[in-house]
Amino acid sequence: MQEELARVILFTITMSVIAVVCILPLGIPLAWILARGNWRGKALVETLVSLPLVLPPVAVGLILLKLLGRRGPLGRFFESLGIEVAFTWKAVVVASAVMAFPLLVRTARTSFENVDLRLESLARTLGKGPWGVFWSVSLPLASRGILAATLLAFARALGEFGATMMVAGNIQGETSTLSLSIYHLIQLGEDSQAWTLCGISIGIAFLAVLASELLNQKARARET
Amino acid sequence: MEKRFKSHKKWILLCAVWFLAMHTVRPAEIRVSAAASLKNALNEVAEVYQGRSGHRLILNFDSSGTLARQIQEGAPVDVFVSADAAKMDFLSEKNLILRSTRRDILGNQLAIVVAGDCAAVIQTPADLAASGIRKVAVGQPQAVPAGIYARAYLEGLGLWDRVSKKILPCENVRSVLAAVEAGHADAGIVYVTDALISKKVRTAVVVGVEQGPRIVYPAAVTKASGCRREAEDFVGFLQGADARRIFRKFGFAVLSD
Amino acid sequence: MKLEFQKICLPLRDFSLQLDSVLEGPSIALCGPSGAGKTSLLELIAGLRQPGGGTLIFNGTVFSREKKVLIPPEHRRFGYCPQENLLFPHLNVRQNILFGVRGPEPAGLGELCQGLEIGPLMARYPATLSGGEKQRVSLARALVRGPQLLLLDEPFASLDDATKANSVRLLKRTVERLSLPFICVTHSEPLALELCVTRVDLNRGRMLS
Repeated sequence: MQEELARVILFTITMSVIAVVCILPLGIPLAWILARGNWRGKALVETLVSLPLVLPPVAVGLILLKLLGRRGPLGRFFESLGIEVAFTWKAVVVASAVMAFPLLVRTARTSFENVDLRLESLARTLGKGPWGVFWSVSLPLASRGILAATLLAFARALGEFGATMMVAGNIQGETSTLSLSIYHLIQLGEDSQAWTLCGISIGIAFLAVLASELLNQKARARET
Repeated sequence: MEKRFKSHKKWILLCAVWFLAMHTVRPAEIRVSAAASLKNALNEVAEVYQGRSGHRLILNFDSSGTLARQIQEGAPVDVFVSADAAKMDFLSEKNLILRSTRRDILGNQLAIVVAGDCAAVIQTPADLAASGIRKVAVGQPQAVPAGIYARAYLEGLGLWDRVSKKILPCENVRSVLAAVEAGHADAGIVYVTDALISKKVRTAVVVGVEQGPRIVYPAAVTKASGCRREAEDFVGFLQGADARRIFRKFGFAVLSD
Repeated sequence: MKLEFQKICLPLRDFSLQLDSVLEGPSIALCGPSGAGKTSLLELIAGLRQPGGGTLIFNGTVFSREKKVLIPPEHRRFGYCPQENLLFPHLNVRQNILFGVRGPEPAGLGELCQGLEIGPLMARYPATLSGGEKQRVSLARALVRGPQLLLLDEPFASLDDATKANSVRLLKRTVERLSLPFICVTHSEPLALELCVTRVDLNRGRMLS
């Protein structure tokens, strides 16, 4: 039983880490672009990015299932490559990634907004193009806030339930995450085990969010 | 003195009428938690009963495991109809049902279904273990009766070890059906009554009554029920001729006491 | 140095910058009351602001025409020293100065730093520097890339008299040694006289020479 518990925890953490690693390359630059300037279609992009945050997770899960299921457009494409996505660990990663994405972008965006625009302009006069500015000025100055955003996204990915349930199912040994296991144990009437997992969930999430908040505090202190 | 007596009499009369009205004419609300596989049949039975008795039925369909759990947690339920005896026994042990009202009302059979457009061929249960079948949808084999029955059946045939590696566990038997309909699984194990309802799946194998596990649907009134008499009346109706006709129409086996 | 403004127009908050003239000479002082648009003009020259219309030509090369920016700021090779110095807080002095330099250290770095008397500050961080030191580091940073024009925005505004005198001396020495044309925004009359050959006044977006 302890073994099973440890396996589920390790699995959930691994999937969350992979999910966050996947959304970083897209999310951080996007957060910077959204933090800078106004351009046509910006409001639309902002809305699309924020959708998974406000939609019911099961709704997001349903949409993902429609896309990635065997008969869905993306599902069929992956099948042709011999890759199964729905109801495998890959679906767990996708669901967690989608649900954590808006949190990552919104939090990182705030950090970028707190970077002095004038420093970025100055860097342009010193020969850096827009992406050079991103790498040499914006990213380093916003680094604490970005790390905080990453931790927050990790905590969100860790706790993801509704979307994961829909698109990955709760298959023992394959897609069973911490939150799905808690649900399953409750269904079986194994309350004490469920509470154990619940406690572990709270513990991990608490640490991740605490670290995130402390980093944010340090980032704010540096500005003043 | 006489005037006062007359006004008192008026109030007493009104109270009496009100009291009687409350206890004879008032229609009851009977809350029924029933196994997911009973959905279509019980809806029809409920319509007939409501028209007949004037009572209102509030039906909640889900996996019997989930429903039993809800009752255990204190959900306001009057009648529980389970898809297996185990869930009813569970509640009985915890003293949550009125044992004297428990009746076995229906039977069922398992069926193996495949999606309507599925290329794979399943003629015997052993075909489920074939490599061409990538995923088999069943109810959660630990908590959902349909899944428990499916597991027992496959274990009996010595197929469970191979098939369990590719199962897609579902929350209740109707979601098993949906999974096969949507193509998320190549095949699924449901009740014969579910296969009959769906137009999008083909029944590949019907598990005969002798070959499969014994499937029994018990019904009982809960201890916490606020309308015991009406609830018992409904359970009795489920065993009546009209209800039986409807159940048979949907493919259920009717058990006589 | 020849900077031509042809019907340049830049909308600002209360009025528009409208320029249709030529700035020529080795050193130009840009004077005027506060709010006249001097900083905005400098930003426009540096390429940090796009004009709403008109053409900007520097030494015969078209830098922008109408709303099309033909040469973005990173390719203009102008040194820009903003009013607040704006040293990168996450880099030390040496890294700040070499920020825009790609490849190996340029040969003139040592001489430049000596000339501005900031040699001993190389390993320190901007937060630990005095006003005058920051200003000279900002200058070194702008000059190390060998720009063709230097843009200074109120370079000595926040310094005390003694520091200011010293900084002016070092600046003069350095730009003379490099033969570097520069445009200096200042509201101080004596500074304009001491530092620059030509003087241009800006008022509510319009230039008067």
